Amino acid sequence: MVFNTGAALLDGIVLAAVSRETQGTYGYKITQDVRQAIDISESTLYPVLRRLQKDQCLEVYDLAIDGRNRRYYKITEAGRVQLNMYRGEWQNYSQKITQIFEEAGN
Amino acid sequence: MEEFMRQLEFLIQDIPDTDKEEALQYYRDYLEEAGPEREAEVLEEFGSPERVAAMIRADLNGSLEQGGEFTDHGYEDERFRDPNYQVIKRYDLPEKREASGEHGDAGNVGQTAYEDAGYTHTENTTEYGQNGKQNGKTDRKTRLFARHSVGWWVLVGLLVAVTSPLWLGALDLIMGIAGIGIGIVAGVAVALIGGLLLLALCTVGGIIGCVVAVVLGVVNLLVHPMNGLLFIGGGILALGLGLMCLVLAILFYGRFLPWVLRGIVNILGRLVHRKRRA
Repeated sequence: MVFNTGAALLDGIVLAAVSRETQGTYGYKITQDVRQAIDISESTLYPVLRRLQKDQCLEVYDLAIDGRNRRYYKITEAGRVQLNMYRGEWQNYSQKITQIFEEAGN
Repeated sequence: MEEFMRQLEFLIQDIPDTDKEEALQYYRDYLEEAGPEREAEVLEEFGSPERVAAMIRADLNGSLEQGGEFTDHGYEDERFRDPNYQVIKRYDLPEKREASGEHGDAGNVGQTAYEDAGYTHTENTTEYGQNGKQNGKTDRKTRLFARHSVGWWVLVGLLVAVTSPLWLGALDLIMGIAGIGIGIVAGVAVALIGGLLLLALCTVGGIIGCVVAVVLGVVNLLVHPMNGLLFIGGGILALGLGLMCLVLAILFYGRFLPWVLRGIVNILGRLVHRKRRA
C-alpha cells in the first residue's frame, strides 16, 4: 500500500474489528481481521491493544480454554463512542478524497 | 516456539511482573492460536525475540503511544527518526526488510513532512524535538539491554561469578596436589638423606643420629624457620627411623649379638670340651 495509516486510523480499524464480536475476541483473531484491511505485521497489535485497554476503549477478561487462560478483548461503551467518532471522521475524510479524485481531470 | 518464549522471558525479566506476564501471555496465546502449521511463519514475522522485547519496552516507556503510524512498510514512529538521533532502529518492521527499509525511509521524508502538517500529528509537532531526543535516549538504552551480545556477556559474567568457588577450588586443588607432590619429593629426599645419615650414624650409634638430626633442626629453626621445620620434620622422621634402628639395635645387640656370642662361646666351649674329651 502506498498510503500511510495513522495511529488514529489504526485505532479505529482495531476497534471496529473487536466490536464485531459480541462475545469478545483474542489477539490472533484481531490481527488476522485487521490484516484483511491493512498490511500489519503479526507482532504489531500488542502495543496497540494495550494502549486501547489503558484508554478504556477495550476491556479484557480471561477465559479458560483447554485448561489454560486465554485473554479476550471486548469493546467498552467508551470504545464505542470513540469508534463512532472515528467512523464519522473517516466518512467525512474519505468522501472528500473520493470526490476530489473523481473530479480529477484526465 | 518454546525457544522464542524462553528468550523473550529472559529479555524482559526486569520489567514489572504484571506487564511481563501480560506480554508473555499475549505472545504465547498468539503462537498457540496460530497453530503448528502457521507457527514458523508467525515467528519469522515476529522477528528476533530482541525486537519483540524492544517493542514491549518502548510501549512501557510510552514512546509508542503517540506519533506512531502505519505505512506501506509497517508500523513506524516518526519520533525515532529525529535528526539528532541518526541511527534509528525500527523495532516494528520485520528484520529481513530492514536493509531496504533504510532507503525507503530516505524517500519518505517528503511524505513525512506532509503528514506532520496534517491533523493527526498537529498535537505532536510543538513538542516534537524534545520528545524525539528523550525517546532517542530511552530507545538507545532499551536497545543496549536488549542486544543479544550484551545479554550473552552478562550471562557469561554471571556464570563465571557463580562458578568462581569451583574455579578457585580447582586452583586450590591443583596447588594442593602440587604441594603434596613437593612434600613427597622433599620427604623422600629428607628420608633418604636422613636414612643415609642415620645408617651412617647407626653404624656409629642409632640414637646419636636422631639426636644430631633434631639438634640440627632446632639450630636451623633459629636461622631459617622453614628450613628448620623441615629439618625437625626430617629429624622426627629420623627419630622414628632411629627408634626403629634402636629396636633393631636392641634386637641386634640384645638378642643377635648374645646369640652370636653364645654361639661362639658354645662353639668354643665344645671345642674346649672336645679338647678336654680329647
